[in-house]
Amino acid sequence: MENPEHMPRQILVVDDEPDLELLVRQRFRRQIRERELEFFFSHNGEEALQALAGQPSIDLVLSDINMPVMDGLTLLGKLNESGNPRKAVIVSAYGDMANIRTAMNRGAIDFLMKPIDFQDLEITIQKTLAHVEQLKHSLHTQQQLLAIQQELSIAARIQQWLLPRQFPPFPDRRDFDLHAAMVPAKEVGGDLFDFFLLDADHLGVVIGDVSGKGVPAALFMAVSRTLLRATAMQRLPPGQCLEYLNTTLAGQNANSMFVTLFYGILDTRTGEMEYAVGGHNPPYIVSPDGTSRQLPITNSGMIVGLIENAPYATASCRIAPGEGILLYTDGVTEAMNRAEDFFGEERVEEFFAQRPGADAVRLVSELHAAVQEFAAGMPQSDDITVVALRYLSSVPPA
Amino acid sequence: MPKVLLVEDNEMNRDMLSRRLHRRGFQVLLAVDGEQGVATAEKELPDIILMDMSLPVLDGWEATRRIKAGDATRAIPVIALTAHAMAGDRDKAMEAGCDDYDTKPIELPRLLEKICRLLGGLPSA
Repeated sequence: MENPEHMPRQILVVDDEPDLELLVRQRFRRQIRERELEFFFSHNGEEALQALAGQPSIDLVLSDINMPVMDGLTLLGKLNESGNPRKAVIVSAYGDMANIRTAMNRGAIDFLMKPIDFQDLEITIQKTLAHVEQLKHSLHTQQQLLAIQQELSIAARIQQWLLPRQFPPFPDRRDFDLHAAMVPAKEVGGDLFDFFLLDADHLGVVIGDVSGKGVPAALFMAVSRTLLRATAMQRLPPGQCLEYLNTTLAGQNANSMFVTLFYGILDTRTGEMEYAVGGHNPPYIVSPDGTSRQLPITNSGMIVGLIENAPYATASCRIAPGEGILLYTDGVTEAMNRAEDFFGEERVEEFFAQRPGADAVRLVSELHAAVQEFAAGMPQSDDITVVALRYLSSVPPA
Repeated sequence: MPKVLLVEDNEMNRDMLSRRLHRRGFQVLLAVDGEQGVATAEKELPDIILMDMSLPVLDGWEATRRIKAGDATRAIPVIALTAHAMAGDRDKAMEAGCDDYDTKPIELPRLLEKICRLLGGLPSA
């Protein structure tokens, strides 16, 4: 059946025998007429290379060995260099095993004997074209995979842009000292942190950890972070912010994803912090002498995004001048060493004890370093995030 | 706040897991053997049960069967926790009526996802 839309599969026949062209056109006249196959003819290797340059969609080269100017074996060597998935079938004199072996070693996929058995040739052509088709298909799949990988690494970068990147974040402020860093696990993940001034005297601080990994977690993280910031800007107390966020996320959450969150608002005049917790690890309050205590979480709410209308209470604590609050995600305490021990809370507390008076930059960077040293090359399975906020004084900003 | 019943005889595992679940905002009820597990399930009607399978007095398989046979408790999802990733354990757990299955050592994010999937359609507390 004639199909003008259909692109015939292209075959190049290379032989110095002028009669061959006639024979092939005769033998395959039906396939040529129905545009299943299209033949091109060259009389030596060099002509063949020119023909291939003009017709890059030729999928099969059927080549004689002994030809003037450039023989079939030399042509085979050149075909390999092109990187095209096209295949070559060699036609040799009967019993010429030495040349056949050379041809196969140079990448010929099959061989035929002279005089040509046209039924055998037809089968060989069909088989080889099917093989080339498959090669093209896997090449295409491979390219698609590469493109997806590229997009994934772009996704990871975009996700990092969502986190504050400028440090110090508020260089004019002398009344507090703030630093944070996230070390992502290999895959695109779901830790988040954020901070923002609600007004001159109120600093919002957020840390969170999204369930799962990969692109779904990254998207959920992006939505959570954006939604929380937008809600926070309305100046709602932290508990109400989490309630709103929870109900919004739970309402549209078909995949049972969730995020653990801590959101605090520091009054920079008094050191008073209002906060709410959605299933997140209790932050530490660190004294200048290196002693530390976990923030009492009496108002612990559920992980956020799971149960609609779950309550989230607002609690408050006081951070004395010189004290800091350290927020972290599971990646810190659940980092594992070779002996399969967790880094654990005891090591975090020990870490503080060894660094009395450390500023926010030191607390963040050295805690990351300590976790890394502890894990000693074990693969990092979870994002690791640390946020340190030191309250310095009740002196208003200059 | 969703109520989780943790049935586990090993004190260290029990303390560790219950503390971590509590941190995530769950109310955690504890039972130390299968018989206590069934009794607590009937009395407290938790939202979900985490059942260790090798328990004294009454093992986890039998405890699950009883919970799944009780009119009041059969709708409560049960996640089986077993020590070894034995191929047959999964089928055995499902046969006993468990709704899901996880192996020790517990990876909390993985377990939480299973819990959340089973609690997914939960109406507001």
